[in-house]
Amino acid sequence: MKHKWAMAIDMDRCTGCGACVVACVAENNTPTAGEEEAGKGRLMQWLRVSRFWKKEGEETRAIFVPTPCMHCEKAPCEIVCPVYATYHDEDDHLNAMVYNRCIGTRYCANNCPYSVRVFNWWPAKWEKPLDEQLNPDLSVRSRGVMEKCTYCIQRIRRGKETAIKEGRKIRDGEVMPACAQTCPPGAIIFGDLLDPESEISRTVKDTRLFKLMEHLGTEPSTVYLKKQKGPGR
Amino acid sequence: MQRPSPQAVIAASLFAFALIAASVASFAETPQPVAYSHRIHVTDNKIDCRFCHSSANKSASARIPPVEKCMSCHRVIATDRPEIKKIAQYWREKKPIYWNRVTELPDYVYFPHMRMVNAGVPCLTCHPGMDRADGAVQKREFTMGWCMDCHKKRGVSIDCWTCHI
Ligand code: SF4
Repeated sequence: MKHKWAMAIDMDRCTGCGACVVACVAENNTPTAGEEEAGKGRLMQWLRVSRFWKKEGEETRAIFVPTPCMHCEKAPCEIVCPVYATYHDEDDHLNAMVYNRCIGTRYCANNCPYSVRVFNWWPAKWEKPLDEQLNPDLSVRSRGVMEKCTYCIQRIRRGKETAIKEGRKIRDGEVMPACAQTCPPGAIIFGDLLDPESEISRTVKDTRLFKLMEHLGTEPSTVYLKKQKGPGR
Repeated sequence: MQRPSPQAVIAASLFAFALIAASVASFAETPQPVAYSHRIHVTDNKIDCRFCHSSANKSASARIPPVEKCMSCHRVIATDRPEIKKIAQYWREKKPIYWNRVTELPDYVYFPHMRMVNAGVPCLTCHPGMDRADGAVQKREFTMGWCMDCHKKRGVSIDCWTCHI
């Protein structure tokens, strides 16, 4: 069973609240870097909400762009990995990251045009009782490895396993990454592009669609819907 | 070249012996709060593994039975044995039994029991000798090569991301 998972982010709906970032950190056992480390550019987040200011006449508006890994079809990060720790998953069409294969050259992070890869500079500590909040479906990464958004692969796995056990196909909306699930205005749409009936397949036909840095030819799976103009926007 | 002295030879062989002993010892039975015997349950009384490890075909972990499950039989069976009395004591005090873990995979291995059980892999493939053990014992080392061999033989995925997420 093959899939092509994709994500669409509706910038018209995104309010920049940051709930997706919190959900991602909680779901994926991402350690907190702290202020000092973040100041050195070592912020540990798989998903960030980039903010841009836009001047419109008298007013200045903020535009929020949630940026997870784009899961590029032609990923610049994959071709530079010397140990094949990041590669293209043929079954799911995802940009896979195998943590215990990574030797920490950080070349992938240098080559990623979207700067969404993060590096574990320090062994993360979850002091009691914080260790109780760790997600058991996912490994706790050690120091010296690269990591990044995986579209919540553990949830995709779980969905696939349930579907196999019940002898059916995955239903649309059954698999949902933590960010999409938690987004209050529902700005993140996730699904399987190979399913012609799915919400994501309908969304990618929207005329507002655009891709970040499309000219680079990375063919990202994460796409965006443009902010519309009009009263109250 | 000078021949090694007899003392050195003895010391070396003792060291080798200690190494072997240590590796064998790692397969020894782990002491448990209640002396539970897999042999009596599985071999003698022919109870299916999944009667007690009831999640093996449903979830990632096979699960250890709650005290309630033990008591569902032992309220009437062999109630006079000292080990069963211990279980009854836990039951009366409404306390769980803290079994010591015997089999554990590293954190970076994603191993769902249900996938193996539903694919028809017998429990004893990975837990050989468990049916005859007085207690719980792990006789097989889970090395990646061993897992891969089995996956290759069965023609299932050997993609890194299948097991390492
Ligand atoms: S967005 Fe960056 S990390 Fe993600 S697949 Fe593309 S190049 Fe790789």
